[in-house]
Amino acid sequence: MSDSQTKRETFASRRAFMFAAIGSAVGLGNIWRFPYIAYENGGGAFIIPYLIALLTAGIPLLFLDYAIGHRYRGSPPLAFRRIARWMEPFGWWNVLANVIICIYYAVIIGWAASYTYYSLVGAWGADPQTFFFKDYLQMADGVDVGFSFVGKVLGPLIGVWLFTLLILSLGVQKGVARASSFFMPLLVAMFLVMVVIALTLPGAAKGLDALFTPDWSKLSNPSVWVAAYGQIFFSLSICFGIMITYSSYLKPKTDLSSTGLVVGFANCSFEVLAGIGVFAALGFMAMAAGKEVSEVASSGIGLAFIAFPTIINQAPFGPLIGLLFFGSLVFAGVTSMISIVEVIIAAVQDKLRFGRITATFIVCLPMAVVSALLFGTTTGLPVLDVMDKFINTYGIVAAGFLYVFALIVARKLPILRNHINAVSSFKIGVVWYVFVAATVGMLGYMLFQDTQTLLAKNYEDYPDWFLNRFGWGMAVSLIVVSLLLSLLPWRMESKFNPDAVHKGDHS
Amino acid sequence: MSTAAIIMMLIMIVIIWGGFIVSILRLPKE
Repeated sequence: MSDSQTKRETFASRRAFMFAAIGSAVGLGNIWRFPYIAYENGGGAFIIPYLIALLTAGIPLLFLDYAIGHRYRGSPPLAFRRIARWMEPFGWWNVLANVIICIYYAVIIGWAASYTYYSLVGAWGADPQTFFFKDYLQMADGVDVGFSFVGKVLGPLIGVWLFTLLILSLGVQKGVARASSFFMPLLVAMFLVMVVIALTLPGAAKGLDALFTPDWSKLSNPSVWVAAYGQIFFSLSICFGIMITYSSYLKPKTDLSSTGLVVGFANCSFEVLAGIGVFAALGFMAMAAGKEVSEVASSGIGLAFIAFPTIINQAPFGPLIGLLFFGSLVFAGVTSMISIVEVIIAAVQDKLRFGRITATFIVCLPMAVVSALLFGTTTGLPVLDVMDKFINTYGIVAAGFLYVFALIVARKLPILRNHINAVSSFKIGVVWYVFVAATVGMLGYMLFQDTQTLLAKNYEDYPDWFLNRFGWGMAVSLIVVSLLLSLLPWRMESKFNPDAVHKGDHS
Repeated sequence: MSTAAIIMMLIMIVIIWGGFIVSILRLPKE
């Protein structure tokens, strides 16, 4: 057995891995993105494209990521290097995308943490919108980059980074797995209580009616199918490098496909639960305001930090709803944040052979500083908005499209399929190749469509200099730096090569 | 709630949550 195999940390059990993988998949998007996407794209009829996307893209790509990490036993750069040396930049592209995501993800968790407390004291008063933008974020007028720090934002942001650093410095089993095994059941329990309370609110049925009434005509619209594939793709954390990293910590004889099915369906189950809870609450909000659900329905920051505080102001048990809702956001966010940063730490450990604690500090401290400088200030929100848009398109979709395409071209799919079938009870057939190839087509279409939109008009009307710096500039830098990082020498690189060892023998 | 909405909600719950439960029950012993 090679050096890399003996020294690599592992999850103590399959259960520990599943909690970590589900913790990574269940994030802010499950709570604040899925309900609105389903509502906007056919309501009850959305189940059809959503299920098809899950079965033909989500779960097949989840299997692919698991197979890469498990077979080649490394973080994305090392795993891709072991597949073929020329593929190493794909791994660094994954890692750098995670760097960008975690520096803004941390501040959103910090906002949610603040709002967990604010729910109890009703800090936002009668106007949650003004409170969020003016009193809490203290947003500067216009688009700019400045360094006027906002204590109320900076404090929780630093807290999130310290917590992440603490958990990750404890290692894979004692840190990542234990934290996920604690936070995930707590998150589900808290969210279930929130959903039950929301269902008892007057108007809840009106919200559920809006969410689930099927609009079958929407299914003929291609954008609905793109929305379903996009939701599944981002929600399951596939092509982020996270599942490659986590599966590299699995013991050699671990059932990959059965585990993947549990993770995929667990993530979607939570999304459906979130849809019910969020739209029951929005139904109450619409009824209290004498409006239609369509007038109050929203997603993302607007849903969490404006709509929900309004609901909390008006609902019986409002502070309790706030505590459960924002607490759920914090726990969902923290388990995802841990998985995002873990990809970077694993890559640094693999490349430079640093110990766990050293690598954690080397990764977390500089990122925490950048995170604080960019997002702990009065000018953070527009930067966050642009980075989120561009990194999703050019960090995740583009990288995923290219690396899956490269694996097909390099004829690596049969090796990976054989690997999955060798360790799993649920065997995958040749139809898996078709699904993976079709997903590449869908990713290519998403990339093309997004690029066309971004080139046709400035995203959200931000000025050119701003988009060129934090959007296009950031996206191009990611590719250049990925190529440069892959040129750096590996420290004490092991000769582990599963394709050479097991050539012709995958049983 | 309309009948169509109730039916679609139940279908979604049965398929997705059912899929989750079945996938757990089908997990082989470690």
